[in-house]
Amino acid sequence: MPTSSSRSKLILGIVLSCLLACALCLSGCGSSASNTDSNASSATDAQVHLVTPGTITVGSDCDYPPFIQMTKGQPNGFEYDLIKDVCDKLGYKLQYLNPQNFDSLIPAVASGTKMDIAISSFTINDERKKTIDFCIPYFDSNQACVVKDSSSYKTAKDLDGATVCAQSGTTGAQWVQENLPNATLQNLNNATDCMSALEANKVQACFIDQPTAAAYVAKQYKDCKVLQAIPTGEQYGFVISKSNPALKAQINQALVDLYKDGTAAKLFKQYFGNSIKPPVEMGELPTNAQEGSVQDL
Amino acid sequence: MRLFSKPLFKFFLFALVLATLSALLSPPQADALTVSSTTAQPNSTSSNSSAVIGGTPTRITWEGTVDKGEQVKSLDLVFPAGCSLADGADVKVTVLHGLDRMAYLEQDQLDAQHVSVDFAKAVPSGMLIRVEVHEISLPNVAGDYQLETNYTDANGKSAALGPTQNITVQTVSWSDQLSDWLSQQGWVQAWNSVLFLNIFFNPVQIVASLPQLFFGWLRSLGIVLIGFPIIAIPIGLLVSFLRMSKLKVLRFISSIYVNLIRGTPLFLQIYIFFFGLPYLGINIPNYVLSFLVMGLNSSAYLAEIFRGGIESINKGQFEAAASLGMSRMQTMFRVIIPQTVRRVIPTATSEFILLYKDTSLLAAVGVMEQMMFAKNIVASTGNMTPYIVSALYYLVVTLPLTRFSRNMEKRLADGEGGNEAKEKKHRLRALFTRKQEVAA
Repeated sequence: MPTSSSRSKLILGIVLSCLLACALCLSGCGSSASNTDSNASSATDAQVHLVTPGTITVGSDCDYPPFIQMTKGQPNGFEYDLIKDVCDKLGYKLQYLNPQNFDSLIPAVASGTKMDIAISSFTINDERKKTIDFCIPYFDSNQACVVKDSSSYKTAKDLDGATVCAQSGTTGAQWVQENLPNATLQNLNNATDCMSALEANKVQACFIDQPTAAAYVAKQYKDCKVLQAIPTGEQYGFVISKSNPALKAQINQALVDLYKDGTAAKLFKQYFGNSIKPPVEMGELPTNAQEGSVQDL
Repeated sequence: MRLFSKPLFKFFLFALVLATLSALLSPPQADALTVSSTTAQPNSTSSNSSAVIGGTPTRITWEGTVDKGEQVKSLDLVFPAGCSLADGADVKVTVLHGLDRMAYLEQDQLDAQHVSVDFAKAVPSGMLIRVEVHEISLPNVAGDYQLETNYTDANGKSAALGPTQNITVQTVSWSDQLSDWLSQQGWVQAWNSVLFLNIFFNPVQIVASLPQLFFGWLRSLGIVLIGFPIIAIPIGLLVSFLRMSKLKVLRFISSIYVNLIRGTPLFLQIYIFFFGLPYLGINIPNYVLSFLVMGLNSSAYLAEIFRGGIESINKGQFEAAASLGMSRMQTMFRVIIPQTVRRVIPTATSEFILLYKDTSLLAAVGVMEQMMFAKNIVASTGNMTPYIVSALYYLVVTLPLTRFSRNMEKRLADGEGGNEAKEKKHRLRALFTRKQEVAA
């Protein structure tokens, strides 16, 4: 049994060693992140940083059909095909990490030690841009309010005061906080948990992106319906670290090429039929695609 | 004298009422634009998550639909007096036809008084125009604020729409004020320029998340404070008796209960309870379900702790009690249990600590407890500091309890003197029968 003074020394020691361990870990990871890829043709002066040289490492929550989902342990979907095409074009290998929590993806990209980009139907917005950068928009999306078929609600605004759920950290969750201030919002880890909560009557509605909502009610959750599609005109972009402008420029250029040469159009047709078209800006080359900023055209 | 026949008079009266009503109800002139909503993004880091506070940057979203047969060439939204723009303030305009985003070239001008949006080509009817103003601060005085909408149509005719829907602004709380002040301090900016310190020990985030996490802390503590004594202890005691029962069936049932619960992860049990039970038509409110799951889970561990405690009592005591003519029940409640309580308190305390920490798992199913509060802030800021603050809150409970449990153990060892060897054996068993947590 340690005495109280030696005990406090022990606690201090533990705290200090924890801090040291964290610092060591960070510096170690930092050096691995700065490994540069010599094979990649560098478009700009700055060098491309990759977690694994020659490979683009992608983080995703892998639970957002038809964009990304896991089938037999393999990720697949629109976003997977798109980034695969980007990698093929740039001569990189593609590595998908195991599914991550959506709300941990942006911090993971910002730290630059686990993944190069995160692709998980991220809406481009200013809050996120404070921490990370976005590549150019690849998809136009909207929100949707999903309820059970038996629900008596008429519009999404009727749900003010009800218990609703959304995936933690999404624009859907933000929409609820802003537009339904009296609703009780449950933030869940992924879209499947949201739909499970709805199916289990734990919540009266769930708010997810409209394309995914449409896919869910058509296939997996036939006793649910889209109560209302909420036009927001938000756009998705790949999440990339602010300290990796060279990689961003490469990916942006590859995306522009894919959208111009019709490869992307094929993917849109395959996954969304004729219901959703590529972003209008992507039809022609945006003037500042290199910077990847989103324009109000 | 009758000027009007009665039916005619009634008709006139009716017509008059109708005319007044229609005059009141219909707008004086048809507007080309219908404003559907004006909202501000909740920006408070402390009070509830839907609050909009003044004097702190937020995002104002204005939405309007171009009416039938009309066109809108330009918009001018007038902010309430006293607004200010922060660094990086800008405007984003989105034009939507149904769910399709349209390309309309526009030019906008933004200052603290108003934002004007000039479309290169007039926006036709049926289009939804969405104007987002980022990094704008509403006046730092609580109250309802409105935006005034002015527009010009394709012919250059301008018109003004009345004030829009209210944006309710609350006053800044002390923690918001403090974090705002902190973020402007030089040393804070220097501190935050180190990525590691910024991500984990951001002073602004510490101040902002402390009060919010306090409510989460209360809720987490509430869940164990109700679940542990009301569900876990009685059921645990019952199951421990069943485990020692003379009837094989009871022993069998109780051992299945204990092994099932201890052999599967709590996380899995939470999922089954929260997402599974409702399919059976059993719909229990989330908090009640939290007490239940946590309590039942803990009861299995407690059952083993109690059984170990009871079995550790010298067999001679049973014989002595019997020789005094006490019944088995009397022996249990008058002799054995009082001694057991002393012995199980350290291990039961550790179990309580474990359970308290495990309430964090409830975040996965949307129960608003401490972890969930922290997760929400992290999700909106991308900064890990709330997790660290959350860790401190957990420690506030667990550290004193750990010390308490250690002291109890020490006193027990001292008190029982000659029985120390036996006590050690008991502790050894505890190591194997439960998740190990006791500070040895």
